[in-house]
Amino acid sequence: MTKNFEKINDSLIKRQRSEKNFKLFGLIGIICAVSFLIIILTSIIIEGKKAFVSTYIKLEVFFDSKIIDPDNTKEDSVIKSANFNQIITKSILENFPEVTDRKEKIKLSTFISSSAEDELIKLIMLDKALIDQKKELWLLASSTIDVIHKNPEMLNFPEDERLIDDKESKWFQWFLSEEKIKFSTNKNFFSNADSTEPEQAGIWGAFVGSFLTLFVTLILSFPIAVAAGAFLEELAPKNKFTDFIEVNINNLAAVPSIIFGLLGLAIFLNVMHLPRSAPIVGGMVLALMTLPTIIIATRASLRAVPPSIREAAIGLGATKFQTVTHHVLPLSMPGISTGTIIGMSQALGESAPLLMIGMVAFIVDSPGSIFDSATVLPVQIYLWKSTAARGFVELTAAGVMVLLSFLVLMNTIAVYIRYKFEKKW
Amino acid sequence: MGFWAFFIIFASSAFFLQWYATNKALRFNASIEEGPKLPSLPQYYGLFTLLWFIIPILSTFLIWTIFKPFLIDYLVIQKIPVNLLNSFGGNPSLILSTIKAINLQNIFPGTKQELIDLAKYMNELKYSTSSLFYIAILSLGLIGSSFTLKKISSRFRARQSVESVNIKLLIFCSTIAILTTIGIVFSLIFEAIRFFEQIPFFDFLFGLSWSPQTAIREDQVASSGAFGAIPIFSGTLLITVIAMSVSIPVGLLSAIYLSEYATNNLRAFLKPILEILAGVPTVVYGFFAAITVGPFLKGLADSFGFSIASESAIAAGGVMGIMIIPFISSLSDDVINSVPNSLRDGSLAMGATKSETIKKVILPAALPGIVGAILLAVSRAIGETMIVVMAAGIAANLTANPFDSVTTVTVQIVTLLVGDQEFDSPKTLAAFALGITLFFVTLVLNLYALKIVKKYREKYD
Amino acid sequence: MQKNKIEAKKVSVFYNDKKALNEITLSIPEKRVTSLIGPSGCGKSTFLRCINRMNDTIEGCSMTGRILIDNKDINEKSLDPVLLRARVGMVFQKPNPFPKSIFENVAYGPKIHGLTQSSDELNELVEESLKKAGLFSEIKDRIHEPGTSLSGGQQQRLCIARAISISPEIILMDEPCSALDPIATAKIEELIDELANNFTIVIVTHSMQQAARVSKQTAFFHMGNLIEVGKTESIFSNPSEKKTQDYITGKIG
Repeated sequence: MTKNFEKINDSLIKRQRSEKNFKLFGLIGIICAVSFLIIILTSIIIEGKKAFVSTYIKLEVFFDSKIIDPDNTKEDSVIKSANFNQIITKSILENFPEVTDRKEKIKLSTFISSSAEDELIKLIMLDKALIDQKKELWLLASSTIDVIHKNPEMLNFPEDERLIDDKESKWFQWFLSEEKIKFSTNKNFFSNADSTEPEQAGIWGAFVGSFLTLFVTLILSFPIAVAAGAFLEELAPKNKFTDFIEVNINNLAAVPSIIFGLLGLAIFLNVMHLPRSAPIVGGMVLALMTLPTIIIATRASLRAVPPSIREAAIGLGATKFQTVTHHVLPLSMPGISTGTIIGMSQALGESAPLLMIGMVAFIVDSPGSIFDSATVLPVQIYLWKSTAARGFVELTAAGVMVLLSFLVLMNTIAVYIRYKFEKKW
Repeated sequence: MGFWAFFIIFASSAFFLQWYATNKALRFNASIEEGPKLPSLPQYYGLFTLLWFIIPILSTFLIWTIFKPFLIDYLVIQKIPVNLLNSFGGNPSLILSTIKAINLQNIFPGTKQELIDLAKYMNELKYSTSSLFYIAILSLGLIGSSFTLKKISSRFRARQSVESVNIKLLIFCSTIAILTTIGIVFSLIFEAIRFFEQIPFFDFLFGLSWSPQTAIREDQVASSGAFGAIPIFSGTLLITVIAMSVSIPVGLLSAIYLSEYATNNLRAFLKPILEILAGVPTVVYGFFAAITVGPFLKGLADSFGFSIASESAIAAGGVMGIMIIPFISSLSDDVINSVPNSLRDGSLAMGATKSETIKKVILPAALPGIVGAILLAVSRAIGETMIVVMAAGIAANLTANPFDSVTTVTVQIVTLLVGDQEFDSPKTLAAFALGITLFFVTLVLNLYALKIVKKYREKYD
Repeated sequence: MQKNKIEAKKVSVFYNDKKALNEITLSIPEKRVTSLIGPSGCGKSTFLRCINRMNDTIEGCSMTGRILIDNKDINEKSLDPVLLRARVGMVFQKPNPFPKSIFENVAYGPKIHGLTQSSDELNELVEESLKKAGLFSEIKDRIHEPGTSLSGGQQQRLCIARAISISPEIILMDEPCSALDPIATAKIEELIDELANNFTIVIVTHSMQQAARVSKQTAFFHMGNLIEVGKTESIFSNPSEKKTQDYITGKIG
């Protein structure tokens, strides 16, 4: 007995140490997973929050009538087509009288965004009395200047990595020192659709596209999935055919999303000739992907309703169909809604299948109907990431933040519904 | 008649018919003094009429929408004059695409007059037939409903009919899942066969060189061997292996800690956080991998004197591994939890430490379930698109070095199809060949994994 | 003088706020069989699980009072429960062999505690334990088949073999025969008799007849309280407490 006891005692220290190590490894595993999440979110927020402000440069603008309306016609069409770019360039050059070389003048003029022209036109249209007046205005800076302004450490990079050359750097720093450059909220981000210029690009177009696409997804997938789920769970006989349907559904839930894209391409676009890159096609593809999720959620919710409800209804003479539609289905609605919202939030984040059906085009206007070309938020993020201009990096991160916020919102609503309405039987 | 006019007439007729039929049933009931009344509630007669109005119209509409383009194409082809056909090399589909590309609002100067005429004809066909069609199906619907209205009598059990129609609708909805699978297989196989008509099957499956740049002109043939998929398969394999080597340790250890060591409160707090990792869209992971991880690793390597690709397999694979962690941890957690407590008790009562119990009793017992979870995760990794599209390379590279840039099956599918391609070229068809390979591999993995998990659950439930 | 192997002093057990055992004071003599009887839910198993600190594994369970084995407090901070459980074996109500071979089941204990140096020693130890549990002759040809392929009674004997393989001083048995048929039960009772020569055995049982058959000392529990303890014969023929009398005659329980 004591011999055993000694042996056991001896090995104990090693065993306890290995116990502690094992527990530590487990803890490290969890910590790794959580830190990955934190790192991802932090790096996105750090980059993305820059996109919510834009850089503006203060200039004294002279609305020279010789440029705007040389023949004094006072016609709108003449004014609108005037060369406001020249007016802007002149205003900048006023600050740097020493600049005479034509190439350098052009470089300076690129400090201001091309959208500033439209701003000036709008101003004149509102108040024609401005013609031949001088006014101090804050104009939107171009993306390059915006990037430098937001990442001042870039000024220390060697010239070929810097985005602006030494002369431009000097001019930029002049604006800084004169306090003629500032940050202000980015008005374009939430109101504009995509653009080639980062400072003018916004997510409105993608937002409308996502909304229309999800709308189509919802109205297609929800009724069909609930119908299928109710049928399979409550009304279907248990035979080989229904087993086969079940296997199919479980399998579809695990098929890679890009395959659905190929299906959409081959059938919806090439056979049915539906408009390419339209929310209706995107919605149909996503509906097929979301069907299994909602069917599975429906079945689970139906299963949770106790048999006593069904028995009571049938005992009163209801048919099986009436039992399901009048009693069981309404009671399982909270669970079904939760599953649907979760399915929708998964669909919102999907991008691979939509690339296949053509939603990669560069769309400048927000779509007007479900048959117009559109893009969706995640694809917009992908497109911006693929663009070379440095100014799109922060926009991409900001787009990610918007997408994630919507997902958080939808999932919170789902959790709330589950919490508030789900009955504990 | 435009679509919206049709829709308004359709919707209002539907409402009206249902109301009318219900009313008729009510009046019928009221008119009977003695004898049997209607066997079903009046609303069922209304519903019956409604169904037999809507269903014929909608089904015909659907069929028409699918077949109309073919019909129009056929009619236009009949009208093409022979000399025009010959000038296009005898290929009617080429003429058709040219005609379809003509914008009648803004005709490109120099277009042949004959083509313009054909385009106008096609347009006419499209819009005039619509009108006729809408009128036709509305009449069809009205005829159908007039029959149903006649049927309202005390011998007609409307409720049973309505329910049986409803159940058939439900069955149809359920079979959509099968239809989808069939659709996927059919469309993929169809296009893949067209691909394999041009590129031999074994060249594709076992070829070592992938460069799908075919010539622009149709009569130049792609040099053989340019569609060898082995480098792509190896790229997918490499990235999957890297992803698994991140996700399996982290996922499994997390699952063990959560199910065996964490208190209930801690578990309730941490489990949802892991689920968040699963809810992040893959495009976000792709962005993170491309913008943060790739350059970071490259900078790290540079500071040590190595040079690695900025689109290295390890960047894409590592981030994909992070995305897969919740798959493994969640499923493993369920599996570990379902091992009966009696086994734990038996081991602890013998004087085993918790880690010994886990390592020697619980994990071996849970192993089939965990293997199933890993297989499902592998299937997910193989089919993942956005992360690799954004963070991995495009050039096919047969290598085992994780610091090189490789490409995967999904990246190639995207690259081949995104952009303006002539749909029939081997380049775009190759995407379908890859697609069907991907589908079958993931299908086999999924079926096998689900079978293992099911068998395991049966053992312990 | 009969030495007391286990002494419980004013032991109370709480599951969160609910009290399951109320100030139990009980002595268990060594190398004898003591049985704990009482109606369902009266705390017998809870008490049993205190002796090898298996209640520690239940979240929310706490204990006050002291339990001494060989006069040493088993809840002392410096005492490793692992060591305690190597000295106190347990057999459960429902047989719970590991999903491993018969051999591996019995070898589990010796392996993790590092009791044998060579595989020959291990083989010997496994064979001996199976013999002592009365199982060896029945399974010697299929010792590497899964433990779960045995019948219920054989599985329970396997669990006993597993428990005694590390030579504990005390064996706790929690209704070991309740899941078995009468023949298997008889075999196990025979085994308990033999084992009592070398081990201190505490057995929880639902069956008074079983308690009468196997044990020398019996303790009667009711609603978390120890009502009466004493020689088995006297408890059954001449109990001093009314509650004991009521239980034995079937009025309560």
